[in-house]
Amino acid sequence: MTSRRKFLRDLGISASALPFVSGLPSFAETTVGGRKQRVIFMFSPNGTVPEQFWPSNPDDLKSSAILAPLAPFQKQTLVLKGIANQIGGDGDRHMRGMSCLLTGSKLHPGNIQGGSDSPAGWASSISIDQEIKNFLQKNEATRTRFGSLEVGIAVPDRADPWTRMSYAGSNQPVAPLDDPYQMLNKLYGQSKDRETYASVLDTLGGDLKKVSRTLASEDQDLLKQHMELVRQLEREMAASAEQGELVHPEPELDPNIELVNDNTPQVARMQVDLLVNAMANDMCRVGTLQFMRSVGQARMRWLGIEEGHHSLSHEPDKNEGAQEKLRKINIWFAEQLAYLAKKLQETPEHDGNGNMLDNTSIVWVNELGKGNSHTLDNIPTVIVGGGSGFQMGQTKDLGKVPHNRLLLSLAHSVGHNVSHFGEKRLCADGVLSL
Amino acid sequence: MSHLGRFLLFLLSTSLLVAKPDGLAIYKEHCANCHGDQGEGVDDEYDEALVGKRSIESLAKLIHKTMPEDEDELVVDEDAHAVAAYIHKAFYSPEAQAKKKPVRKDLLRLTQHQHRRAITDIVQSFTNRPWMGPEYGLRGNYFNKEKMNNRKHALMKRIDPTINFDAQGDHGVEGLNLKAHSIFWTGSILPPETGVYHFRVNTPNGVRFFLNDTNDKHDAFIDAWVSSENKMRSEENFIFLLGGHGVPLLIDFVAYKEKKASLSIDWKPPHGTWEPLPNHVLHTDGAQRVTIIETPFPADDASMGYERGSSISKAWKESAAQAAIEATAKIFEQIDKLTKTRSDHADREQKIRNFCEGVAMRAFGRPLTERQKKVYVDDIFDAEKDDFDMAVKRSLMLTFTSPYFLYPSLNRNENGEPDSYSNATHIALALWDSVPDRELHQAAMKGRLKTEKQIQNQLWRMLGDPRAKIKMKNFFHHWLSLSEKEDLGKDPEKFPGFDKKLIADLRSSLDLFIEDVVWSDQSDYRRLFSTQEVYLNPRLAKFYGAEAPKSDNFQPLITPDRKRAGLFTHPYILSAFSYHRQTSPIHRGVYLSRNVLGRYLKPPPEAIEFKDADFDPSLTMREKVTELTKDQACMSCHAIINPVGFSLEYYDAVGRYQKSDNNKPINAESDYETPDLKTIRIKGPQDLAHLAIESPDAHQAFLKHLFHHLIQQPTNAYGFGKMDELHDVFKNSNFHIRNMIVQIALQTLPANPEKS
Repeated sequence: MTSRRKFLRDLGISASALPFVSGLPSFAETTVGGRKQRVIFMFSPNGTVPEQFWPSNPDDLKSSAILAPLAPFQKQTLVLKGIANQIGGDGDRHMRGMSCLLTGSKLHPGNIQGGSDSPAGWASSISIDQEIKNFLQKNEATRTRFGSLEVGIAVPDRADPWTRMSYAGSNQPVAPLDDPYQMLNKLYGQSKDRETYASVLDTLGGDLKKVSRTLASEDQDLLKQHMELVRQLEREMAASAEQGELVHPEPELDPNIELVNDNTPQVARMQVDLLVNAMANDMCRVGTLQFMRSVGQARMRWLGIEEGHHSLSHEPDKNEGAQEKLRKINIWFAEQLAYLAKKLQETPEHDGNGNMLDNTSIVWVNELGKGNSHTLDNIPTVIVGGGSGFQMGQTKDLGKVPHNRLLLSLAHSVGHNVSHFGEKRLCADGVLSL
Repeated sequence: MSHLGRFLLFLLSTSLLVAKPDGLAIYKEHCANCHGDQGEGVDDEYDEALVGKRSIESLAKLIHKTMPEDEDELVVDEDAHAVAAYIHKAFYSPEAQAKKKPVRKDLLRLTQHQHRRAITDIVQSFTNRPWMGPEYGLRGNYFNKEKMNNRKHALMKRIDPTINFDAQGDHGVEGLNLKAHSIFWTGSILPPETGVYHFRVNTPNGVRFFLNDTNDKHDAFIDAWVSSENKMRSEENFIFLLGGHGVPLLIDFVAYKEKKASLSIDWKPPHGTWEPLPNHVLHTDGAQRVTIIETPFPADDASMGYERGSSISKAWKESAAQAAIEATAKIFEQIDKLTKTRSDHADREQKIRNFCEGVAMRAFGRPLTERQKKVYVDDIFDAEKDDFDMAVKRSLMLTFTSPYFLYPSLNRNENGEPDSYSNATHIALALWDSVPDRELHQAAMKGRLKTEKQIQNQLWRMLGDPRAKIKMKNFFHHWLSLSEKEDLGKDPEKFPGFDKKLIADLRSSLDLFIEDVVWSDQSDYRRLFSTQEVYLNPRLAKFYGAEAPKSDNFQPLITPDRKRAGLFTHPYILSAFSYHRQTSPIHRGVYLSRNVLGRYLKPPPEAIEFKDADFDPSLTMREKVTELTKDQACMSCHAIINPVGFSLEYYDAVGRYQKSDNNKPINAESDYETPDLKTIRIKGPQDLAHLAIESPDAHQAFLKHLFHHLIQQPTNAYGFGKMDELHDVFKNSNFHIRNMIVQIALQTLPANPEKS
């Protein structure tokens, strides 16, 4: 492993600059002693109930009905008010809320149309989770087998800008995997068969190349992408073979859970367990945990709620029954976050220094501020865990800042000091002071 | 040229200019500032592109009245007409757009549905694909027992409509020993669609239920063999099945020294609710085990309005790899059976090696080239001399991830040209979403797939296969947007009885209706709209106030309003496009105008949401929508949308007939402007039906959806006039739907057939 001093030397920073450099927590932390910084983006849809969400006492999570489940993590929680998605452009608010959420840039014009607004297509640039993953994968010290895992829970089997928040680049949505059995398989499955498969990849690459030469240039692109994926798979399989013994054995899944709406709570548990397990075994340091989708219509019968979530979110404030149900729904999401945080907290770091939560940032986001107004202001944003080096344990009102600046700050928190992320104009004021 | 000559020319040209206004010049002067040189739009002015389907006359009228904004007197009359003619030709019309951006056929990979079905069919081509005969039900074999594990005393054999046996009831088995008997049922189930099926056995006795894998040495699908105090119990399990692929079943039932003896089986199909296993999916013919790939795939790109394999992603590549691994494991498990060998056969290895070549040939849709044979078979087996099993697996995995399998349009001869094999692959995908079956492949191989007639004959044969029915069913579900509208749940207080069971029945009713139209002799598109009857079973009849049918089955019946018009008024569609408590003329209007009537609707200029609470509560839905959309900007489209939606106001949010809304009588009448600018009066669904039957836009919308569903390429990629050509065929063949399937497949063949 690269020592801190060698790393700095490679960067051309002299030892005399060291005190200043180490003053930047993120910079020091990614390099010293191999602190494994991790980021997890958790998404829940359809806005929140603002009155029940923002803590009336900024220092006490129990003063928020929705955030109360996070009270055990009070000291490691930062609630951010004033985050606004100001991207604009094509697509309805749900669509932009979702597909610009982690990308911070406009949607391509397209032909997917919601109830109103002009139609739109996919996001036009990479999302922050993938950006951080690429950054970590570039460096041998932070490289992991998968880099990132995109985990879905009850995401419908449909690819459109309402169902995707993670993007590998412009027009390249990353599909979340919402089947825990497939996830288990991806992490640990059928290693023998996969070895056999790996042995044919070389031949396959050769054949693809041969075929590609016979095609029109417009069609070659697809095959080139295909070849690149074959090579990537080859590398991943090689890395997987090297991984060898596991520190944390794979979790055992209940084999009989069908992926249907009413089983969502069980599926959520399984998916969170798998994500934590994969991170504990250092298979990835970035994760997304996507509950349903923007405009999601989950019927949370396990909470005694029959109506679809999205329909409820349209009900006016004065409909108390609906607001009560929305409160319950958002508390449930907070509980899922609390479960994830607890699992991380209970897992000690490999090197004996603290637990996983100390080094992880769970960033809870939503595509809207509020369902019935469809506002993209005041997106309910919560960060849990000590991964970022931000000052935790408070509720911070930022006024009204573009969410790009939060994405930028998160990039900086892992030492990826880019000048802007997504739309440049929205990053003019730089990182947030967190 | 002399001065005079030049002068004359000048005069001539100016006089021409005066005589006939120059559309381009007027456009540049008055329009381009806001609309851009090519109508592409200008940021902060008018940023939408000028494209659409209006005629020159209609455009001229619009320009005359409204353009340029705030100075609409500047371009009027002949000038307006000249500008209209210019932009229509230069960029506005679909023809102009097609010329500006020629459309090409994209290289496509298999979609997830094609991928799954192709693997299943490749494996099945090595066994026998059963022809599900017309005999419905299961073969029952009845025995009396002396001991638990024998069935010595055969009593009788018969065909049972379904499994619903009660030893105490009227079972019709003479000499049955009530306390010790066994029954053995065999046959198959033909799944009506792809998805997860749940099954449940109910018995106080013992039963093993085998499904797909009927080898009774393997684990049963549901094992309820050991009874407990002769008490009634239910046990269930679920399985992923492919629509149109029959799977064998075997039920082994035993009552031994028990007072009560009974067995019934329920199922819950995708989109359905628990109900007794219905007779119409049971077949007495046994099927062979089907190899079903369960690996989930990421959803395919549907951004063009239809699913196609136009992009690849890491998730897809992983699924494709996983599917290859799964297929290989499942084939390997039954390899001796598939190759008709045994482990002690001397020629086993050669047979299996030939089998691997055969799999590649099926997957690639043509005999392997020498190079392919070397790469996909010979090199692998030669390199793995010590590990035969490994060689088999490697060969199969390579085949199932090969570009020749994943990209079916790569099926070309050695000169890179399409031929009969390419045509076979094309029509198998179009009709079945799969690879050619043995017969089609043989036809290509033996030179019997060359003439148009020969291909046509194959197409008509293929239409008789259940896979074609599934493909058409999916087409209708897609065209009717059913996949996006699966949850029809309504306010249970306002609509008591509109529950899951009823919704599942409605879905069946719609499917039965469509099936009846498509697969009847006439296969007449017009019947989709002209039919007054609705398929109803007793539950639906009661809810919709019709006279109950005599049997439990669905029957086409007239509802009391006597005004229904096929799809427009099918309660499933009416409910799907309604709010939780109210109708939604806008949803109904937008969907039907766009998909069924083929109207071009631009996206709304501003986002306005229907919020019921914002309106005077005494208004009717029609009044609210009228109020909401009264702006000129809205009305450019809502003049089309609203009349369509309003004409269905006689039907409430669950598709029941209603005479009043909010205590006021329903007003369903309005004026509707047709695409050729005629104003007609629409009074109700029958007038809509008339439009769908008569309007070329409606026909073309239907054909276009069908084309995309079958071919997965844009229609313009086959020449700009393709739609008109197909439309003529459609009109001249009495709107025969099945004929259009054949025609579309024929007219898109990669290799031109010989004229017969």
